[in-house]
Amino acid sequence: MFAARSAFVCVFALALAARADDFVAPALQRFVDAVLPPGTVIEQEVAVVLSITILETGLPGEITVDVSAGDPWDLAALAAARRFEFSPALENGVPVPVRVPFTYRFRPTLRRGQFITERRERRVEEATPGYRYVGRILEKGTRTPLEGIAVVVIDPNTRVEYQATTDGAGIFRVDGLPPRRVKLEVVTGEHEPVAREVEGVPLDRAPAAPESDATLYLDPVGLSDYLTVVREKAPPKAASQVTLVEDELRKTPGTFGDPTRVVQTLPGVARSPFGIGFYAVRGSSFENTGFFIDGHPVLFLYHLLGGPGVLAPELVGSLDFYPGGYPVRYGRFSTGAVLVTTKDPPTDRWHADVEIDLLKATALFSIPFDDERGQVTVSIRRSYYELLLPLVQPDISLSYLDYQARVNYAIKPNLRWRFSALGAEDAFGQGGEVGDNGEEQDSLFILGFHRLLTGLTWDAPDNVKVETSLAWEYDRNNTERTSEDDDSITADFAGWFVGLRVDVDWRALPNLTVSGGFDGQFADLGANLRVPSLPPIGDPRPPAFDPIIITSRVEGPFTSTDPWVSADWEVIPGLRLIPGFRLALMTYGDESLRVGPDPRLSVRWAVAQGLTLTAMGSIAHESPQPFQYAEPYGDPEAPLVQGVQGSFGMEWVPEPGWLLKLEGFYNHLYNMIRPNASAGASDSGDLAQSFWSYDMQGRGYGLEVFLRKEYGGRHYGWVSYTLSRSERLRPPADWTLYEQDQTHNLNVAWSVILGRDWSVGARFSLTSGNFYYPIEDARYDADRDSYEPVYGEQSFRFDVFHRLDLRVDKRWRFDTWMLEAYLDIQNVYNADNPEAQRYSFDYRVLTAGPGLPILPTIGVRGVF
Amino acid sequence: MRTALLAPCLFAAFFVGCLEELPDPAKVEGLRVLAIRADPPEAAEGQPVTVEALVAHPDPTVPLTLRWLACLKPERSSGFFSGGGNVGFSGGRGFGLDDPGSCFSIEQAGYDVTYLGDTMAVRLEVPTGVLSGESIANAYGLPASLPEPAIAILRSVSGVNLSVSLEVRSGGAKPDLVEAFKRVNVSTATPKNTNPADVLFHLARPGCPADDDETAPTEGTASPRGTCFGEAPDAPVALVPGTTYRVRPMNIPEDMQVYPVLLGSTNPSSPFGIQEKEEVYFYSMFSSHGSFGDRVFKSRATPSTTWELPSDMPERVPLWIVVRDGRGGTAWCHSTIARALPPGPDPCVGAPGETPATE
Repeated sequence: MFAARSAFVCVFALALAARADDFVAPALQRFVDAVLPPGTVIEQEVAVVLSITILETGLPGEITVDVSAGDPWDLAALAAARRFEFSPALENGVPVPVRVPFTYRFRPTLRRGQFITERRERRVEEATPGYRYVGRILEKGTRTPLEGIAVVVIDPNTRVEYQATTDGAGIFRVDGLPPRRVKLEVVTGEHEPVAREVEGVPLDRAPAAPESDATLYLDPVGLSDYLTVVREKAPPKAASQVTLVEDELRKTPGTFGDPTRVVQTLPGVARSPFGIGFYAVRGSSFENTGFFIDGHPVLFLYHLLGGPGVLAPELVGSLDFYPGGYPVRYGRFSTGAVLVTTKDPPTDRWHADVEIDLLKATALFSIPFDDERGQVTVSIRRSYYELLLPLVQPDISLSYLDYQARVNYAIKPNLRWRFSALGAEDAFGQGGEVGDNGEEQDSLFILGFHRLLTGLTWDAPDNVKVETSLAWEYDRNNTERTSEDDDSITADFAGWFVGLRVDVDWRALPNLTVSGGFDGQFADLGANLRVPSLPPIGDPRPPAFDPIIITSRVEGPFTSTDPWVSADWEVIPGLRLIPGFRLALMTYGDESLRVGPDPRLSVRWAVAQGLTLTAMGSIAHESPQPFQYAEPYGDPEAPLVQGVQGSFGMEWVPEPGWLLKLEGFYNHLYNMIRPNASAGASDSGDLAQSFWSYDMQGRGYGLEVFLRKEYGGRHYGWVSYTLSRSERLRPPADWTLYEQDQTHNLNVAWSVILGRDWSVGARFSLTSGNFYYPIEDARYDADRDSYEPVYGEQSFRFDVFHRLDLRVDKRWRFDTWMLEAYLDIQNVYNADNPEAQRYSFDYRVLTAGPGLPILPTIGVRGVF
Repeated sequence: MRTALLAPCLFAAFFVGCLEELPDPAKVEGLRVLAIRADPPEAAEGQPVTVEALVAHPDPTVPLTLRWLACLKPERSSGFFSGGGNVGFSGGRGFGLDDPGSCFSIEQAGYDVTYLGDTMAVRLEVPTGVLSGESIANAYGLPASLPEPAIAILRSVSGVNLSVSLEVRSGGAKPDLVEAFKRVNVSTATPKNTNPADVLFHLARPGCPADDDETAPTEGTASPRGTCFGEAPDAPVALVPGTTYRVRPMNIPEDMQVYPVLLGSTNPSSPFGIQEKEEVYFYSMFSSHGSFGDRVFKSRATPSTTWELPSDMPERVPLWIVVRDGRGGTAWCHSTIARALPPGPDPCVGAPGETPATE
């Protein structure tokens, strides 16, 4: 048997972005030499590229040959790899399966053959005299220490080879070197080869740590993006779940780099006008889908004027989208949920990230402390619209600012504390405006929120995990309009909310996890209003804005104390039941207790290899908005909105990394609130007014198709198609189409990672046009000096919406930092896509309304 | 407090500047009804009311055919009791799908309406019973069992609006049809509203002494022929093409009338309350040529607008100014502007309100 010793273990180039401080890569613990048939001569280097699934036990699972070298190399490499032993990958301290690439290399044997092998082995096993060279290997640009990299040092005189392998810090030590210059080589297959001349030093003078000039930076090639580990994902927590990670969140074209805007490309999500980033999911309204950051709901998600999200994309670790049947540990939304989980930069050293584009600048800095047990991260982002807008619209000013500050600290290995502060302030103003009446007007709109959050995560004994968090948030929204002719109009909203979460997960059995907890929320929102009243009864609206100002105070306290319980039970292998129950206990308005039971059941049944059937049934309750229940304009008796949803589908994984999902759904909403100003008799017989009625219902039903290539490898993306119908019932009328109904909704988003750190992506959207009722006639109102439109009875649809977005990214790696540049062009061929119609004053002339034009953005980013 | 509704409005507003221009409502380029006046604008049951239309057409020789109807139809889109109907967001506009209707559509539906005539001015006899409890409830979509105190307030403060609908057809090379309507308020209020009177405007060339805010005249005698600047119809004001002029209203009462209105209150147990409101005049400008700085402006502060005449203005250009008091009162004036010769070295000489040009 001939044993080939020289195998280079190509391990795991871990992503800067992917590697959170809660993920530990696997490491090879026991390497096994491949055994070749007798007489096999290795004349030149032969490489067999394998993919190995490393199980939670550290043993190899499925092994496949990705790049074959033919016989006998493939069989020999496979046989050896099956006997490897690893330390398993850890996520949050829990072993998880991962799948990694592995290149087994057969190098040409030396003339001295076995003797050299014996000598090499002796060097490996015993500390040998001679000189020592200590070095370090980092990934170029990210400065990530590369573990498990084989280093070969060759004596040019004798051709003797000396080997070493880097440890977790990327450090290697080569012993037994001759007292002269030798050649050091690093060849991994996934990086540019490195070779340099080095010289060892006597052992008694050898440094414990590498000298500053003994660092080698390896430049990744081919799959130049960060992640070459295709992790086995945590199993979905519901029947319908899409999880996005990494560059899927930040580099999908047409989303401004906003993770939450990527949701609009997913199935079940109607296209929102102007890409505003709020979604009508499965026939529901915008407010029926919740956005959560680290478990707590977000009230303000985007900056003004359709600006970017308030959370810096660099701090977004993952995003889970549930179009329905979301886990019961979350609640208070009647249809879907978007769950954003934040992350921190790696804790191995300080990191900085600076990005500048046409409209804003972002800076992020993080630094570990206390021997990497803790980390502080700060991020700030500031727009500079106010420098550019005067060139186009001198009367308009717009600015925004957002910030995040985070501290994480491992009090003990199983007890982690975190604190974060995040907030945003936006201002939009128009100055020197001339109103309809010729008078000077100024208007100002300010939006702000500030949140503090603290939490503990405890990995308790017996497979119990406890997570608590407390959030406090202050929100404000100020509007002011001053005019030389009229009284000032002001609307000042302010409020604060406190959220307390306790989540307990117990892995009772290998096939059973039981969870429970409490989700409490208290909010006190109020407004001081000096706003125009409705027109006087019996009087026509005047020809120009002439407000009668009334002052009022609106207060809307709200409490919700929701216990919940759920389980994840693999009844038989392949059949998972995920039942859950949440009891929504809310008070608001008249402060009577509203009880909303939220049962949920998801079923996932792997009926065959790679084929899973899914089903879901869900009831979810949601409170009305504060202005809908807070007096004097709201109805304090407004009930909870109730969403009842069901789905049935299948998922097919034809091969690892690919997914085809088909799902039919039906979603029905009850007690929806709509504006309906009316008068009636009160209980005492007096005239009473109301502004709302909650007799509206909504429904959406259809079929979703989702084809996805998961992130990892040379390309990733998805094709999403939804065929659906969305309707509303507004008594006394019958069911009619909902304004966001889009029969066909197709999104194709794909990115390709090219060589040399280039990547390109494209996104194509094709949706049915929104429907509208045309204005067929108009009457002149002689009191108002304006025309009253008369709508036709038949609705029509706008032309099909179609748009292509492109994005190109390029990264330059320097030893200790990276420079990235990108070009993102929305609506590349400047399709018209009007979002509305525009009529003349008498409705006789119709023109195309506004739509988003071509919108290029360029940016540069420095990662340190 | 999601910004879901605000964001698209602001976003759309941002891009409006990039859109195709629409016709100017101040420009009369075809058949238009510019105003309808009811005299008195607020009447009592059984009282006669004269209703007159201001109809404009670039070609004064085009034959016009009018038809007037009167009816009582429920209030719509007034806000307080506007109802909901199938309110939604359609193609970018909020709308109420249900047609608020007119006397013509009510007639087509087979209900009783009153034919008033086919001349420019017609007479309406306000029927009795309009202010009955049932009629008031119907008018505002209120419950039939409306409490009497509420009926009394509505009767005296808000009244009931009779609807007068007008259909105008023009002949000639490009026939056209325009429909308009006006509210005639019927109430028991005293005193009742009247139409603005003594409509008169001051014309000056900006930068000239006559254009001084401090010294420009604020009062004058309106022409009985209804011209805007007090001129005789056969002695039109002459203005220079390619020049901008300032138009200021005169005879604005120093103390505008204060009257009670019924507003929705912020007290849920007292759904509406009476509030005093000061009258405001709204001026709407119309012409076939030129452009106005402000097509509509109010009488508060220092009301005025500018009128820029084109360089290629024809020999005669019409000007209409409609004055409304925001509660149904209407008046108007009409002038024909003549094309003037270019001014001499001093543009103020010969300008309106200035030293006449010497021969």
